[in-house]
Amino acid sequence: MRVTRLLALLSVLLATFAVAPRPADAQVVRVAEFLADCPFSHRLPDDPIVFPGLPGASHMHSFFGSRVTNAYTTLADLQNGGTNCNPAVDKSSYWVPTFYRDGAPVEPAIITFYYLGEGVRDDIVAQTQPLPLGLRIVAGNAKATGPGDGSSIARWSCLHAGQVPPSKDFVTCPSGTMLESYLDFPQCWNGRDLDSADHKSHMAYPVAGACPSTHPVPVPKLRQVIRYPVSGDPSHFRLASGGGYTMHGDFFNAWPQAEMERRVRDCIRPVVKCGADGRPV
Amino acid sequence: MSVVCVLSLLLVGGCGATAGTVASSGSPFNATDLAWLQLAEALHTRALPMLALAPGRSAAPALVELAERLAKEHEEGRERLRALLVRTGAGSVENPHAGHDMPGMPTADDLKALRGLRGKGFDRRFVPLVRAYLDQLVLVAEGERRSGASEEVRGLATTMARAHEAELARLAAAG
Repeated sequence: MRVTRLLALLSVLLATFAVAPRPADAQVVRVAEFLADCPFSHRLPDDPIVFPGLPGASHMHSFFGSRVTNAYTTLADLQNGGTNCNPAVDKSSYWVPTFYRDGAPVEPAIITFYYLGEGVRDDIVAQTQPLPLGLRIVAGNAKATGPGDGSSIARWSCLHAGQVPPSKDFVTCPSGTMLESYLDFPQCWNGRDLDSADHKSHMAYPVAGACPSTHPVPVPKLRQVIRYPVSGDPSHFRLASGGGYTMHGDFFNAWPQAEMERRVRDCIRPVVKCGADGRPV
Repeated sequence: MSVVCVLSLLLVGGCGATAGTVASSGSPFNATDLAWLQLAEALHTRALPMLALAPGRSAAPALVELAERLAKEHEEGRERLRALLVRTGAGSVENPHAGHDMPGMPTADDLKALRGLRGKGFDRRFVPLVRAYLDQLVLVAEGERRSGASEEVRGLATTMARAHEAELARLAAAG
Protein backbone atom coordinates (compact mmCIF):
# COMPACT_ATOMS: atom_id res chain seq x y z
CA MET A 1 0.00 0.00 0.00
CA ARG A 2 1.20 3.47 -0.86
CA VAL A 3 0.56 4.81 2.68
CA THR A 4 2.57 2.04 4.32
CA ARG A 5 5.47 2.63 1.92
CA LEU A 6 5.29 6.36 2.62
CA LEU A 7 5.28 5.70 6.34
CA ALA A 8 8.21 3.34 5.96
CA LEU A 9 10.12 5.95 3.95
CA LEU A 10 9.30 8.61 6.54
CA SER A 11 10.53 6.46 9.41
CA VAL A 12 13.78 5.73 7.57
CA LEU A 13 14.31 9.46 7.01
CA LEU A 14 13.54 10.24 10.63
CA ALA A 15 15.93 7.55 11.82
CA THR A 16 18.65 8.95 9.59
CA PHE A 17 18.33 12.48 10.92
CA ALA A 18 17.47 11.72 14.53
CA VAL A 19 20.38 12.21 16.95
CA ALA A 20 21.59 8.84 18.08
CA PRO A 21 21.52 8.68 21.87
CA ARG A 22 25.05 8.90 23.30
CA PRO A 23 26.00 5.57 24.85
CA ALA A 24 26.15 6.01 28.61
CA ASP A 25 29.64 6.42 30.07
CA ALA A 26 31.48 5.32 26.98
CA GLN A 27 32.12 8.75 25.51
CA VAL A 28 32.09 11.27 28.40
CA VAL A 29 35.22 12.31 30.23
CA ARG A 30 34.72 11.68 33.96
CA VAL A 31 35.82 15.08 35.29
CA ALA A 32 33.34 17.50 36.86
CA GLU A 33 34.13 20.63 34.89
CA PHE A 34 32.86 23.44 32.71
CA LEU A 35 34.77 26.53 31.64
CA ALA A 36 34.85 30.01 30.20
CA ASP A 37 37.64 31.44 28.05
CA CYS A 38 37.73 35.18 28.64
CA PRO A 39 40.44 37.25 26.88
CA PHE A 40 41.90 40.51 28.13
CA SER A 41 39.45 43.40 27.83
CA HIS A 42 40.87 46.57 29.43
CA ARG A 43 43.10 48.00 32.18
CA LEU A 44 42.04 50.43 34.90
CA PRO A 45 43.16 51.33 38.43
CA ASP A 46 39.61 50.54 39.53
CA ASP A 47 37.98 47.80 41.61
CA PRO A 48 34.17 47.72 41.96
CA ILE A 49 34.31 45.10 44.72
CA VAL A 50 37.03 46.52 46.97
CA PHE A 51 36.75 50.23 46.03
CA PRO A 52 33.20 50.81 44.80
CA GLY A 53 32.75 54.44 43.78
CA LEU A 54 36.47 55.27 44.09
CA PRO A 55 38.03 55.43 40.60
CA GLY A 56 41.83 55.40 40.66
CA ALA A 57 41.98 54.04 44.21
CA SER A 58 43.40 50.69 43.20
CA HIS A 59 46.65 49.44 41.76
CA MET A 60 46.31 48.71 38.08
CA HIS A 61 43.96 45.86 37.25
CA SER A 62 43.62 43.85 34.06
CA PHE A 63 40.00 42.99 33.35
CA PHE A 64 38.86 39.85 31.52
CA GLY A 65 35.39 39.03 30.19
CA SER A 66 33.02 41.95 30.77
CA ARG A 67 34.02 45.00 28.78
CA VAL A 68 32.25 47.53 30.99
CA THR A 69 33.81 47.06 34.40
CA ASN A 70 34.97 50.13 36.32
CA ALA A 71 34.71 51.59 39.84
CA TYR A 72 30.97 52.13 39.53
CA THR A 73 29.96 48.79 38.04
CA THR A 74 26.91 47.04 39.49
CA LEU A 75 25.46 43.63 38.64
CA ALA A 76 22.92 45.28 36.32
CA ASP A 77 25.77 46.99 34.44
CA LEU A 78 27.42 43.63 33.85
CA GLN A 79 24.17 42.02 32.76
CA ASN A 80 23.49 44.83 30.31
CA GLY A 81 27.05 45.15 29.08
CA GLY A 82 29.17 43.36 26.51
CA THR A 83 31.64 40.59 27.18
CA ASN A 84 34.41 38.89 25.25
CA CYS A 85 34.03 35.56 27.03
CA ASN A 86 33.39 32.31 25.26
CA PRO A 87 30.58 31.46 26.05
CA ALA A 88 29.11 34.86 25.33
CA VAL A 89 26.44 34.24 27.97
CA ASP A 90 29.06 34.62 30.70
CA LYS A 91 28.82 38.31 31.51
CA SER A 92 30.92 37.94 34.64
CA SER A 93 33.85 40.22 35.30
CA TYR A 94 37.18 38.73 36.32
CA TRP A 95 40.28 40.75 37.16
CA VAL A 96 43.84 40.47 38.46
CA PRO A 97 46.66 42.88 39.30
CA THR A 98 48.40 43.89 36.06
CA PHE A 99 51.66 42.07 35.26
CA TYR A 100 54.71 44.14 34.30
CA ARG A 101 58.00 43.21 32.65
CA ASP A 102 60.65 45.90 32.98
CA GLY A 103 57.93 48.40 33.86
CA ALA A 104 55.74 47.71 30.81
CA PRO A 105 52.39 45.90 31.16
CA VAL A 106 52.18 42.43 29.65
CA GLU A 107 48.72 40.95 29.28
CA PRO A 108 48.12 37.20 29.35
CA ALA A 109 47.87 35.25 26.12
CA ILE A 110 45.62 32.51 27.52
CA ILE A 111 42.99 33.08 30.22
CA THR A 112 40.72 30.23 31.27
CA PHE A 113 38.26 30.03 34.14
CA TYR A 114 37.54 26.44 35.11
CA TYR A 115 34.53 25.65 37.24
CA LEU A 116 35.29 22.37 38.98
CA GLY A 117 33.64 19.74 41.13
CA GLU A 118 36.68 18.63 43.13
CA GLY A 119 38.22 19.26 46.52
CA VAL A 120 35.21 17.82 48.32
CA ARG A 121 33.86 14.28 48.73
CA ASP A 122 32.01 12.70 45.79
CA ASP A 123 28.66 12.79 47.57
CA ILE A 124 29.09 16.53 48.12
CA VAL A 125 30.03 17.10 44.46
CA ALA A 126 26.73 15.43 43.60
CA GLN A 127 24.93 18.16 45.58
CA THR A 128 26.82 21.15 44.20
CA GLN A 129 24.70 24.30 44.03
CA PRO A 130 24.93 27.05 41.40
CA LEU A 131 27.08 30.07 42.19
CA PRO A 132 24.53 32.73 43.12
CA LEU A 133 23.92 35.62 40.74
CA GLY A 134 25.81 38.72 41.88
CA LEU A 135 28.30 36.85 44.06
CA ARG A 136 31.59 38.70 44.55
CA ILE A 137 34.78 36.98 45.70
CA VAL A 138 38.36 38.09 46.15
CA ALA A 139 40.84 35.19 46.31
CA GLY A 140 44.52 35.32 47.11
CA ASN A 141 46.30 37.07 49.92
CA ALA A 142 46.87 40.77 49.56
CA LYS A 143 48.77 40.76 52.81
CA ALA A 144 51.33 38.16 51.73
CA THR A 145 54.66 39.50 52.82
CA GLY A 146 56.88 37.02 50.99
CA PRO A 147 56.97 33.66 49.26
CA GLY A 148 57.35 31.89 52.59
CA ASP A 149 54.09 33.35 53.86
CA GLY A 150 51.81 30.37 54.43
CA SER A 151 48.72 32.45 53.79
CA SER A 152 49.66 33.07 50.15
CA ILE A 153 47.78 30.77 47.78
CA ALA A 154 49.48 32.10 44.66
CA ARG A 155 50.96 29.32 42.52
CA TRP A 156 53.29 30.05 39.62
CA SER A 157 54.56 27.42 37.19
CA CYS A 158 55.58 27.00 33.53
CA LEU A 159 53.31 25.91 30.70
CA HIS A 160 55.00 23.11 28.73
CA ALA A 161 57.77 22.89 31.34
CA GLY A 162 56.35 20.77 34.13
CA GLN A 163 59.83 20.00 35.41
CA VAL A 164 60.03 23.50 36.92
CA PRO A 165 58.66 23.14 40.47
CA PRO A 166 55.69 25.44 41.19
CA SER A 167 56.23 28.29 43.65
CA LYS A 168 54.28 31.00 45.44
CA ASP A 169 56.54 33.52 43.71
CA PHE A 170 57.53 33.94 40.06
CA VAL A 171 59.58 31.05 38.60
CA THR A 172 62.18 30.92 35.84
CA CYS A 173 60.60 29.37 32.75
CA PRO A 174 62.71 28.03 29.88
CA SER A 175 62.68 30.07 26.70
CA GLY A 176 59.76 29.06 24.47
CA THR A 177 57.50 28.25 27.43
CA MET A 178 55.08 30.53 29.29
CA LEU A 179 54.82 31.70 32.89
CA GLU A 180 51.48 30.61 34.29
CA SER A 181 49.46 31.40 37.38
CA TYR A 182 46.95 29.11 39.07
CA LEU A 183 44.57 30.47 41.66
CA ASP A 184 41.74 28.51 43.29
CA PHE A 185 38.76 30.39 44.69
CA PRO A 186 36.96 29.15 47.83
CA GLN A 187 34.10 26.78 47.04
CA CYS A 188 31.95 26.79 50.18
CA TRP A 189 29.34 29.57 50.49
CA ASN A 190 27.59 30.72 53.65
CA GLY A 191 24.32 30.52 51.72
CA ARG A 192 23.30 34.05 52.63
CA ASP A 193 25.66 36.85 51.62
CA LEU A 194 26.80 37.86 48.15
CA ASP A 195 29.70 39.77 49.69
CA SER A 196 31.29 40.52 53.07
CA ALA A 197 33.32 43.35 54.62
CA ASP A 198 36.63 41.73 53.63
CA HIS A 199 35.12 40.21 50.42
CA LYS A 200 36.24 36.75 51.58
CA SER A 201 34.42 35.80 54.80
CA HIS A 202 31.18 34.81 53.08
CA MET A 203 33.18 32.02 51.39
CA ALA A 204 35.46 29.30 52.77
CA TYR A 205 37.77 26.61 51.52
CA PRO A 206 36.74 23.02 52.31
CA VAL A 207 38.17 21.23 55.32
CA ALA A 208 38.83 17.47 55.14
CA GLY A 209 36.83 17.15 51.93
CA ALA A 210 33.72 18.85 53.24
CA CYS A 211 32.30 22.35 53.59
CA PRO A 212 32.47 23.71 57.15
CA SER A 213 29.18 24.19 59.01
CA THR A 214 29.68 27.97 58.83
CA HIS A 215 29.73 27.77 55.03
CA PRO A 216 27.62 24.74 54.26
CA VAL A 217 26.70 25.33 50.59
CA PRO A 218 29.05 23.65 48.09
CA VAL A 219 29.42 25.61 44.86
CA PRO A 220 31.73 24.98 41.88
CA LYS A 221 35.39 25.71 42.59
CA LEU A 222 36.53 28.52 40.32
CA ARG A 223 40.12 27.93 39.14
CA GLN A 224 41.73 30.89 37.42
CA VAL A 225 44.49 29.82 34.99
CA ILE A 226 46.43 32.63 33.34
CA ARG A 227 49.37 32.28 30.97
CA TYR A 228 51.70 35.18 30.24
CA PRO A 229 53.87 35.29 27.09
CA VAL A 230 57.03 35.70 29.14
CA SER A 231 59.85 33.48 30.31
CA GLY A 232 63.30 33.75 31.86
CA ASP A 233 64.68 35.81 34.76
CA PRO A 234 61.83 36.76 37.14
CA SER A 235 63.69 39.80 38.47
CA HIS A 236 62.21 41.60 35.44
CA PHE A 237 58.66 40.81 36.56
CA ARG A 238 56.36 42.62 38.93
CA LEU A 239 52.66 42.70 39.71
CA ALA A 240 50.87 46.00 40.27
CA SER A 241 50.32 44.73 43.82
CA GLY A 242 53.99 43.80 44.42
CA GLY A 243 55.80 40.45 44.24
CA GLY A 244 54.42 37.30 42.60
CA TYR A 245 53.20 36.08 46.00
CA THR A 246 50.68 38.98 46.08
CA MET A 247 48.80 37.45 43.13
CA HIS A 248 45.07 37.55 43.64
CA GLY A 249 41.88 37.37 41.63
CA ASP A 250 38.49 39.07 41.75
CA PHE A 251 35.25 37.53 40.49
CA PHE A 252 31.90 39.28 40.06
CA ASN A 253 29.38 36.66 38.97
CA ALA A 254 26.98 37.61 36.17
CA TRP A 255 26.29 34.17 34.65
CA PRO A 256 22.58 34.05 33.80
CA GLN A 257 21.00 31.81 36.41
CA ALA A 258 19.60 29.32 33.89
CA GLU A 259 23.01 28.90 32.22
CA MET A 260 24.79 28.39 35.55
CA GLU A 261 22.14 25.93 36.73
CA ARG A 262 22.26 23.92 33.52
CA ARG A 263 26.02 23.50 33.77
CA VAL A 264 25.91 22.52 37.43
CA ARG A 265 23.19 19.99 36.63
CA ASP A 266 24.73 18.53 33.45
CA CYS A 267 28.45 18.75 34.16
CA ILE A 268 29.36 19.17 37.85
CA ARG A 269 26.88 16.91 39.65
CA PRO A 270 27.09 13.99 37.21
CA VAL A 271 30.90 14.43 36.92
CA VAL A 272 31.07 15.15 33.21
CA LYS A 273 33.68 17.27 31.46
CA CYS A 274 31.97 20.04 29.51
CA GLY A 275 33.24 22.74 27.20
CA ALA A 276 32.50 26.44 27.04
CA ASP A 277 28.98 25.67 25.77
CA GLY A 278 28.19 23.67 28.89
CA ARG A 279 27.84 20.43 26.91
CA PRO A 280 29.95 17.29 27.26
CA VAL A 281 33.16 17.48 25.25
CA MET B 1 26.40 54.15 35.61
CA SER B 2 22.78 53.20 35.07
CA VAL B 3 20.01 55.81 35.19
CA VAL B 4 18.69 54.34 38.44
CA CYS B 5 22.12 54.68 39.96
CA VAL B 6 22.42 58.32 38.94
CA LEU B 7 19.03 59.06 40.48
CA SER B 8 19.87 57.30 43.71
CA LEU B 9 23.20 59.11 43.72
CA LEU B 10 21.34 62.41 43.70
CA LEU B 11 18.87 61.28 46.35
CA VAL B 12 21.06 59.52 48.85
CA GLY B 13 24.51 60.34 47.56
CA GLY B 14 25.71 56.82 47.07
CA CYS B 15 25.75 54.03 44.55
CA GLY B 16 28.03 51.47 46.11
CA ALA B 17 27.04 47.81 46.13
CA THR B 18 26.11 46.95 49.64
CA ALA B 19 25.01 43.32 49.66
CA GLY B 20 26.31 41.52 52.69
CA THR B 21 28.63 44.28 53.93
CA VAL B 22 28.41 46.32 57.12
CA ALA B 23 26.58 48.92 55.03
CA SER B 24 23.20 47.19 55.15
CA SER B 25 20.01 49.17 54.76
CA GLY B 26 19.44 51.52 57.71
CA SER B 27 23.16 52.13 58.18
CA PRO B 28 24.35 55.62 57.29
CA PHE B 29 27.53 54.11 55.79
CA ASN B 30 27.78 52.59 52.33
CA ALA B 31 30.50 50.45 50.79
CA THR B 32 32.30 53.52 49.41
CA ASP B 33 32.50 55.11 52.87
CA LEU B 34 34.03 51.95 54.29
CA ALA B 35 36.42 51.46 51.38
CA TRP B 36 37.65 55.06 51.56
CA LEU B 37 38.18 54.95 55.33
CA GLN B 38 40.19 51.73 55.07
CA LEU B 39 42.26 52.90 52.11
CA ALA B 40 43.00 56.35 53.55
CA GLU B 41 44.03 54.70 56.82
CA ALA B 42 46.32 52.28 54.98
CA LEU B 43 47.87 55.13 52.96
CA HIS B 44 48.58 57.14 56.11
CA THR B 45 50.11 54.09 57.81
CA ARG B 46 52.51 53.47 54.93
CA ALA B 47 53.53 57.11 54.57
CA LEU B 48 54.23 58.00 58.21
CA PRO B 49 57.55 56.10 58.37
CA MET B 50 58.59 57.85 55.15
CA LEU B 51 57.84 61.31 56.57
CA ALA B 52 59.88 60.46 59.66
CA LEU B 53 63.01 59.99 57.53
CA ALA B 54 63.39 63.63 56.50
CA PRO B 55 64.96 65.11 59.65
CA GLY B 56 68.69 64.44 59.48
CA ARG B 57 68.65 63.53 55.81
CA SER B 58 67.07 66.35 53.82
CA ALA B 59 69.16 69.28 52.58
CA ALA B 60 66.27 71.74 52.77
CA PRO B 61 65.15 73.10 56.17
CA ALA B 62 61.77 74.02 54.69
CA LEU B 63 61.28 70.40 53.62
CA VAL B 64 62.24 69.08 57.05
CA GLU B 65 59.77 71.45 58.66
CA LEU B 66 57.03 70.41 56.25
CA ALA B 67 57.73 66.72 56.78
CA GLU B 68 57.55 67.13 60.55
CA ARG B 69 54.31 69.07 60.26
CA LEU B 70 52.82 66.48 57.90
CA ALA B 71 53.86 63.66 60.21
CA LYS B 72 52.02 65.26 63.11
CA GLU B 73 48.90 66.22 61.16
CA HIS B 74 48.63 62.91 59.36
CA GLU B 75 49.01 61.02 62.61
CA GLU B 76 46.02 62.98 63.86
CA GLY B 77 44.19 62.43 60.58
CA ARG B 78 44.74 58.71 60.89
CA GLU B 79 43.16 58.74 64.34
CA ARG B 80 40.08 60.45 62.93
CA LEU B 81 39.85 57.83 60.20
CA ARG B 82 40.18 55.02 62.75
CA ALA B 83 37.50 56.53 64.97
CA LEU B 84 35.07 56.60 62.05
CA LEU B 85 36.03 53.07 61.06
CA VAL B 86 35.04 51.87 64.52
CA ARG B 87 31.68 53.60 64.08
CA THR B 88 31.04 51.75 60.82
CA GLY B 89 31.40 48.48 62.67
CA ALA B 90 34.49 47.59 60.67
CA GLY B 91 37.01 48.75 63.26
CA SER B 92 38.16 45.23 63.94
CA VAL B 93 38.08 44.06 60.32
CA GLU B 94 41.67 43.70 59.23
CA ASN B 95 42.53 46.36 56.70
CA PRO B 96 42.58 44.48 53.38
CA HIS B 97 45.20 46.79 51.90
CA ALA B 98 47.94 46.39 54.48
CA GLY B 99 50.93 44.79 52.78
CA HIS B 100 49.72 45.54 49.28
CA ASP B 101 51.42 48.07 47.04
CA MET B 102 48.76 50.68 46.29
CA PRO B 103 49.19 53.88 44.27
CA GLY B 104 50.49 56.71 46.43
CA MET B 105 52.23 54.36 48.84
CA PRO B 106 55.98 54.27 49.12
CA THR B 107 57.14 50.68 48.57
CA ALA B 108 59.51 48.80 50.84
CA ASP B 109 62.23 49.45 48.24
CA ASP B 110 61.48 53.19 48.32
CA LEU B 111 61.89 53.32 52.10
CA LYS B 112 65.08 51.30 51.95
CA ALA B 113 66.54 53.61 49.32
CA LEU B 114 65.55 56.75 51.25
CA ARG B 115 67.25 55.50 54.41
CA GLY B 116 70.55 55.36 52.54
CA LEU B 117 70.34 58.82 50.99
CA ARG B 118 71.40 62.26 52.26
CA GLY B 119 71.11 65.88 51.13
CA LYS B 120 69.92 66.67 47.63
CA GLY B 121 69.92 62.98 46.70
CA PHE B 122 67.39 62.34 49.45
CA ASP B 123 65.23 65.31 48.44
CA ARG B 124 65.13 64.22 44.80
CA ARG B 125 63.62 60.90 45.77
CA PHE B 126 61.57 62.08 48.75
CA VAL B 127 59.65 64.94 47.14
CA PRO B 128 58.02 62.95 44.28
CA LEU B 129 57.03 60.22 46.73
CA VAL B 130 55.35 62.70 49.07
CA ARG B 131 53.67 64.36 46.10
CA ALA B 132 52.35 61.02 44.84
CA TYR B 133 51.04 60.25 48.33
CA LEU B 134 49.23 63.58 48.68
CA ASP B 135 47.90 63.40 45.09
CA GLN B 136 46.41 59.99 45.78
CA LEU B 137 44.83 61.15 49.03
CA VAL B 138 43.15 64.00 47.13
CA LEU B 139 41.97 61.64 44.36
CA VAL B 140 40.33 59.11 46.64
CA ALA B 141 38.88 61.83 48.90
CA GLU B 142 37.16 63.27 45.82
CA GLY B 143 35.73 59.84 45.03
CA GLU B 144 34.39 59.56 48.56
CA ARG B 145 32.79 62.99 48.31
CA ARG B 146 31.02 61.97 45.11
CA SER B 147 29.92 58.46 45.97
CA GLY B 148 29.91 58.13 49.75
CA ALA B 149 26.60 57.96 51.66
CA SER B 150 27.56 59.15 55.13
CA GLU B 151 27.58 62.94 55.58
CA GLU B 152 30.12 62.58 58.33
CA VAL B 153 32.56 60.55 56.25
CA ARG B 154 32.10 62.79 53.24
CA GLY B 155 32.68 65.78 55.51
CA LEU B 156 35.98 64.32 56.70
CA ALA B 157 36.98 63.61 53.10
CA THR B 158 36.21 67.21 52.14
CA THR B 159 38.24 68.61 55.02
CA MET B 160 41.16 66.31 54.29
CA ALA B 161 41.15 67.02 50.55
CA ARG B 162 41.42 70.75 51.23
CA ALA B 163 44.24 70.21 53.71
CA HIS B 164 46.14 67.98 51.26
CA GLU B 165 45.79 70.54 48.47
CA ALA B 166 47.38 73.12 50.76
CA GLU B 167 50.11 70.64 51.68
CA LEU B 168 50.83 70.04 47.99
CA ALA B 169 51.28 73.78 47.49
CA ARG B 170 53.70 73.96 50.45
CA LEU B 171 55.58 70.96 49.07
CA ALA B 172 56.00 72.70 45.73
CA ALA B 173 57.37 75.75 47.53
CA ALA B 174 59.70 73.80 49.83
CA GLY B 175 61.01 71.17 47.40
